[in-house]
Amino acid sequence: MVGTLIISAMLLGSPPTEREYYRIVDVEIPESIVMEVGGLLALGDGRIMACTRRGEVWIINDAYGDEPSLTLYADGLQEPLGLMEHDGWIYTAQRGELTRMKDTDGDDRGDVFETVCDDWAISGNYHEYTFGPAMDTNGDFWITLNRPFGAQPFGKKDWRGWAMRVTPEGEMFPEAAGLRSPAGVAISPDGDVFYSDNQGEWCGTSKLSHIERGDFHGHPLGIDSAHREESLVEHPGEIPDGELMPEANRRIPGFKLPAVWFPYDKMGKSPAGFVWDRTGGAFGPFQGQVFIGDQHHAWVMRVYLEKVDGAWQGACFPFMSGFQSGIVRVAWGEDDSLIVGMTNRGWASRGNRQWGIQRLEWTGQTPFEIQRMEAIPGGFRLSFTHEVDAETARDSKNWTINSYTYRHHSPYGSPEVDVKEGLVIESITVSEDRRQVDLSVNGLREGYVHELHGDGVRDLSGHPLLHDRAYYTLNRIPQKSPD
Amino acid sequence: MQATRVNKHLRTTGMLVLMALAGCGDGDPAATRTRAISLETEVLASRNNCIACHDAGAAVNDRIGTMRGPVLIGTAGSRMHPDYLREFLLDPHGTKPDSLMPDTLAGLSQEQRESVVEGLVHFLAAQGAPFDTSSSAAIPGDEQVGRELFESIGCMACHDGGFDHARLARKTNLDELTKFLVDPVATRPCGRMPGMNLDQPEAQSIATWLLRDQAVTEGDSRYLREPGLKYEYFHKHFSGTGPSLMDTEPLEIGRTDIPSIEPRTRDDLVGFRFTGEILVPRTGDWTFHLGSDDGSALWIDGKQIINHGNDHGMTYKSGTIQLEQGWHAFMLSFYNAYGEFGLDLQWEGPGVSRQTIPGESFSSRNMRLEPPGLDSFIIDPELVRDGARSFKLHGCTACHVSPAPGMGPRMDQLDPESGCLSDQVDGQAPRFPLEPDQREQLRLLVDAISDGGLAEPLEPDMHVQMIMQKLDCMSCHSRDEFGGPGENHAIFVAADHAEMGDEGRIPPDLSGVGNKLRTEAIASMLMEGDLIRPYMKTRMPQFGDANVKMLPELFARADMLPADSREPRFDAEIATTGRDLVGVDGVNCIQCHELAGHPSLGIPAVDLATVHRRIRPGWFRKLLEDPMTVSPGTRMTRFWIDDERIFPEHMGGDPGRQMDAIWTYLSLGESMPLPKGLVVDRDTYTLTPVDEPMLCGVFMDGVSPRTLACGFPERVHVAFDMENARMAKAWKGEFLDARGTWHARAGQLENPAGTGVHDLPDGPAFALVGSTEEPWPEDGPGSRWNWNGSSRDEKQRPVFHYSMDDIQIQESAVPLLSSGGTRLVRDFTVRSSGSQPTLYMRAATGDSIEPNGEGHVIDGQVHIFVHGAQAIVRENLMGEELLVRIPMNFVGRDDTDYEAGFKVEMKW
Repeated sequence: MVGTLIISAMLLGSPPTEREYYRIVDVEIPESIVMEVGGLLALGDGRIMACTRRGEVWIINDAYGDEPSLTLYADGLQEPLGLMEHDGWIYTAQRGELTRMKDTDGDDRGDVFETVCDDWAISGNYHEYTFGPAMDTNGDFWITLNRPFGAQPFGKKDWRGWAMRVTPEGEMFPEAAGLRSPAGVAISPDGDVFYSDNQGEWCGTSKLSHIERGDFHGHPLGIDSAHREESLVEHPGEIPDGELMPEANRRIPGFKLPAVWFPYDKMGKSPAGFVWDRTGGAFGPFQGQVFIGDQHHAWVMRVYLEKVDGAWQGACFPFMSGFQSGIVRVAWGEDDSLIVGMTNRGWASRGNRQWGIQRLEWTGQTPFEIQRMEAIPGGFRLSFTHEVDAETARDSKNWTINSYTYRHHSPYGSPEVDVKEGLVIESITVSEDRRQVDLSVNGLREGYVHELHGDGVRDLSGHPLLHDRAYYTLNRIPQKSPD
Repeated sequence: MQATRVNKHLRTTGMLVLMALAGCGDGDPAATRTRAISLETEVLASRNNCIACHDAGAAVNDRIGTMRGPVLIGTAGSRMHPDYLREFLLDPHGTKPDSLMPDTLAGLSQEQRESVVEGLVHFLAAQGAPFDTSSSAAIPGDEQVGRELFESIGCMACHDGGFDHARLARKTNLDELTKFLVDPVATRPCGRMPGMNLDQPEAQSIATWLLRDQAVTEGDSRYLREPGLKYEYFHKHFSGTGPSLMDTEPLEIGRTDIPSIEPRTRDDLVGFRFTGEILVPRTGDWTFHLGSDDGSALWIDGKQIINHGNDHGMTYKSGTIQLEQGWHAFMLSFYNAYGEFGLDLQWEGPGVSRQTIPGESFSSRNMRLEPPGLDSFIIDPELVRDGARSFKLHGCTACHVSPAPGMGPRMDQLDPESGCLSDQVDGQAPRFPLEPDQREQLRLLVDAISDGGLAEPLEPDMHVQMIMQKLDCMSCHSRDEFGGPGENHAIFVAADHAEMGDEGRIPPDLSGVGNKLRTEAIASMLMEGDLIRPYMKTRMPQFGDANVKMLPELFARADMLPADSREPRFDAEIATTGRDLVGVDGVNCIQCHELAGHPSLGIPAVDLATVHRRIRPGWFRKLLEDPMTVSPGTRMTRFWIDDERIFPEHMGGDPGRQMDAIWTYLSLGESMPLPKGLVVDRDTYTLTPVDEPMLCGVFMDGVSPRTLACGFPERVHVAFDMENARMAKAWKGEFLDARGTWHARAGQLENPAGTGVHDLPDGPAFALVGSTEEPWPEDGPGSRWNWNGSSRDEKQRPVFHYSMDDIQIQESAVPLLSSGGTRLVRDFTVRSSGSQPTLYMRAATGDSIEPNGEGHVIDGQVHIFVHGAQAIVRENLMGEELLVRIPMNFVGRDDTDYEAGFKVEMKW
């Protein structure tokens, strides 16, 4: 049936759509359950665990089938925003503590809820969310603490906007500061810690950043906690208001530029949970790449990351839109589908339902996409999922590259500034196997986003790219080519 | 042969340039001149009121207009101190560098000038009632409130360079400045100092801040002590301990000698907050007894001493604190919900037996403002007459009374190189505070007018620009890339109740506003103070109708696109579809937008019920199609993307028709039927455990932001404070309304829903107490209990785990069905590697604890039975407390050496 549709679409000449390659499947939740997802965990045996903003933990049985059934594992948690399993325990971050829980008698209800760490405090503000945990390669947990907005009835507290490492014994290490609304935290296959952040004050646009000890990620709200003895971050001193990002990076001690900027509205507005594709190709041709949900756009984006001079940078691409609500969490299902957990309570999304869980399955058809966008000396190397039509790929009129950066400042978000439009593409080289195109570009700028459009490029069957744009955050221009 | 051409497209350098082309055919190249008269030059001429003296012909007069100076006749004397009038008139620009008033006396000799000024001072001082130099009491705290207002509502957009408050302190008094701030346009008709929609108390607060240099000092303090307390009186259904610091809008503010509810105007649903200081006569332990019906709380030096919260009859609760002799900050909050009421605060301490605290123990420190004295100034009728003559003779009337175009030569007869525009102004010509380049601009203007230029009315968009520049609208608003706060944006303070981003902070861009807003909507905003963004701290000023009445029409003529007026045909069924789309199962506009006064589920963006009467339909369609293009940087969501049919079930999936359906629905205005999800049923968030316990983690009022509320089917419930590892409350009946935790962005403080709320003792539940004399410790080193988590028993009841060093406590809350109602049994297991002979549990505190049968009665209310351990009653600083000695037994098991088990049963 799907095949027929594709063929008829081709005959009619209309370009293929996302839904021909990936399929959104509803996980049916009974109407009486308010499935405002805060965390997701595939348990195996057809079961998925989900925790909700209302503080409930549910086990969804037969979650991949037509008629799932739900049982309540726990209630009374305070806005838990993550789930992971380790050593027989389920870990979650509540507003005020990292908790582990266990069902000791096998009745699918949690019996033991242990506080692993509660060494940070909350002031009683709605925006004091705690995200995570994610476990690093040493077996330590990472959580990120959101900043408050407005009333703090129990008094202002330390460590807001910090990334914390917590040992299994519960010792807390404040590793990095300056986070704003760090709705996702995860560990890369190489063991590096990443988090996602949302545009706002001191965050020119949303971003995906690598966290290392001592980083300052730009938001000054909680930075004075750096004066506390436990802090592993040096106080950066006074933060200049209004510098361009590359300049802020030079001027502010410890200031960390993100690996990837998500240009506002073009690439979502509120990135949240993210995962690396470790399905070994079962989810399509993007192994090793990042899939990240966006709460506002109710879509999933794709990120290609690479290390240049020892630091992470890379490109982001649209991937799949049309989910039913704002995506807060993504997780891999046991069938290598991507489970998506959603809520739009309090924050608008493009979705048209208030909450829910859906899964994204690969249909087995490979879309024509820019599979990778790599920085090379003096340009970019694009790899494609289909062979490209060399004629259209070689035509410089079919490529546009603009570059811009953002201001590091106190107003909400930043426009794209210091914009250069239509960078000159000096030469275009198509590889012999027609899977790679090297663009040699004049006027590349370090610290700038390079926005690429390839709307005239076709594959051998004459189709355009499913998503003809990519946004490369060029923190460093590499000195030598990858091989 | 002349031509004046207006080219509205020359907007390249931030100047709106008018080309006044004047050509003469005599072959002299110098005679063919191109003069650029910028709009700024016309604004300059207008601000300096050139037309008031120099007639330029009706057409040019209209075009440039006049800016009337402050009203003096009949008011100047009461508004301004005579000494200040003298100082100002002797040296206007030295006294007030930004004054636009020309110095018209500069041509006089010093002696003549002093004499003329003295006449003017007496003439002006005689206008209105004499200037009042008596001191006035500022409302406590007003200086700070005024400062916050001044720095947040938009005053800083013009007054950011620091305000010369020392000058103001010499000029006027609190009453007059307050009156001025309420309606500045009445005194300064030109509108450059607009009204900021201040009510009288707000204006007085700002006036207090601006006049702070008038503060009377006593010793090194600017605050004088006044007897009694300040009270704030509220009409509201309070709970807990009554008005919190977040209740900032009292119905009434006043003074009272002691904390008393006398000033109330009704008995039910009232609250009070009393603030000031209390005088402690001797250093020592002071015990306060707070009697109230219903809830109340007492703070001394910012620390809560007594929490006597929630609905109850007239009972006393006590607290003890060590205080030094002297004044201490005092605050007391109180409320009555329904029925009987009462409030009484007593104390006892060194040399003082228990008694109601007398009035002489309370005071507030207050600032008094006093203008400089008048010395021996007496209005001299002769000098008044001299002054009246000078007032006319020196041209003051032209600006301050009414334009007098005959005062100076006609504009086309002026020699721009001499008189007030010459490089070296001399003789009787007035001295305007002009920079050389401004003089040059005005000379070109005079030339252009002499050549017959500027006789045509301004094009609408230029006219808009002219008015916006005259009134300084550009300090806040941008329009077509001009103006706006720019680098100065930091003066606009973010709203504090939600993260609205810059849209909640910076006044909107006005590009194309005549296409966006209906003419009537602009008019009602400009002239009726219609506030559509109540979330913004910055306020839209009121400039005076006369100064802005032409703007709505001008905006429309400048910007409107007729095609954008298409209004879809009304159809009730389509309006219903619009309602579905606006609700939570549709586009979900109410996630961010308020609607007909109902709060949104997220941020408080513009009320949708106001949209149709304000916005033009074409602009609305464009906004929905692509918000970022219509309103760059907006956080408004673009819902209809490319060809995605996001609601196939509505209007055939056609985005255009769906947008029209929403618009049709919005056309109902205040009478819009509310969409799904905006208002939820009262019981939507009511938690009622029926088959098994229910748990809900909440921010609990008066407890902690980490409170686990536990509800039981047996209808007794408890709140466990995880942050401080202690049981905090127990109550009966209804369990909890979780709306504050589960609705919209949530984050509200919760309270028990039921009745008979019983507060367990503050501080740690367990402590090591070395001797019977040693007081029960507060939380802190040595009594810091760690919350370790919880477990569930076979009935899903929670068991709370907490520990200190190697002492581990498990506490379960077990409802016990009994005759007379369900009781609560706190079932404890204590484990340790040692015998812990000094370990006690505190089961209750109260004014009096009486043995009764098997147990004890606390303050005549709660009956406590201790099972499996010995109960001890002892006095403490506040009254009495019931301690339980922990009966540790050696068990020698693998998991522990010592163990104790006991129960505390509560009946109330």
